[in-house]
Amino acid sequence: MLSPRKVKHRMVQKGRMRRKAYRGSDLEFGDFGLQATECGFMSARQIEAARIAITRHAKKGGKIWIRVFPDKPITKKPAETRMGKGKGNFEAWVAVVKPGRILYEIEGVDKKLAQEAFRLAGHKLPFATKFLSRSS
Amino acid sequence: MATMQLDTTIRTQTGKGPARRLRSAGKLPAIFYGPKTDPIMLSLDYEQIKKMLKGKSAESIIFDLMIDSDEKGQSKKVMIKEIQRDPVTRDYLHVDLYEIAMEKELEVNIPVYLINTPIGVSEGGILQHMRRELGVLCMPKDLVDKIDVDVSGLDIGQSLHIEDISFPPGLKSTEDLSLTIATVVAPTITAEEEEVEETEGEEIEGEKES
Repeated sequence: MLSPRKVKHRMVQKGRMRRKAYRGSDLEFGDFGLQATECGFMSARQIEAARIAITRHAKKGGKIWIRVFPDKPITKKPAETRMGKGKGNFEAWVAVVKPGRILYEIEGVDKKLAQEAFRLAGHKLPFATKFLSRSS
Repeated sequence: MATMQLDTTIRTQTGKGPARRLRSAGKLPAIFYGPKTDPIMLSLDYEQIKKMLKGKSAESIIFDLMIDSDEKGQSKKVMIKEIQRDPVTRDYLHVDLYEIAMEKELEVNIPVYLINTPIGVSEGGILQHMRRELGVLCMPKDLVDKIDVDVSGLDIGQSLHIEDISFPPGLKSTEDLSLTIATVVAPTITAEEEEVEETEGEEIEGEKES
């Protein structure tokens, strides 16, 4: 799974997801892309699950690009714990996704196959997505 | 290359409020400037510009700009320098129009389209389009809206470089001629991947223990 090799701070503040993704919102590499239309955290496990869904559907064809990287550590307190006593334990690496962000791109497959692969990948994600093609 | 006439009106109000009101009225805020011209704030008809740009590269079109208050009715030759779009709806938000001199060379990016199916793809390879735009130097009259590149001869493992393509007359590449435009790679046969379960308490490097 994807994770940073080295970080400056082990834990970070939650932050807010405001506005749209004006960067990383255009197709740069492939012919087709999967674009987020809502905001949310995309965990390293979800990135991997969606990637596997795409590769399995595309079989040997096509080249895939992952356009997000999980560089934000998320913490969680154990169940049935009273508040306080410091920040919770590390839980997962997530990527902050804002509406408009391109998540995956694919090249070398036809439109129908790409659409179905991205539909399957979209089901692994915690926010709504849409299919994007270069011709549109 | 044929030019298109773009009708505009001068706008006086600035800021996001007036800009949003313009957009909701079916107009598009724009700005016009050039090396010898002071910036002029304009508004365009949204449907007109949308129709003009449909299926075309915005950077490779020359417009005849008509400003309504221009008493002499003289048009100015302009190109789109920058176009801002909404990331989700893909609607246009703002356009930068740049005045060009017809007797001076331009540096523009022109889209590259690959035509025909390479031999390598019919043998199972994957065609990778590495550079979708090429920087070229040309006179405005020689400007083309796209460069078609025939890739039918590419076999698996072969690549097409900038030096291999024939540019339309009057166009010179501003980029390194050895750069790759397209390549056909062998398919990667992946074994059924197993999901590796990550152990809990992942170690994070980089922070000094105090």
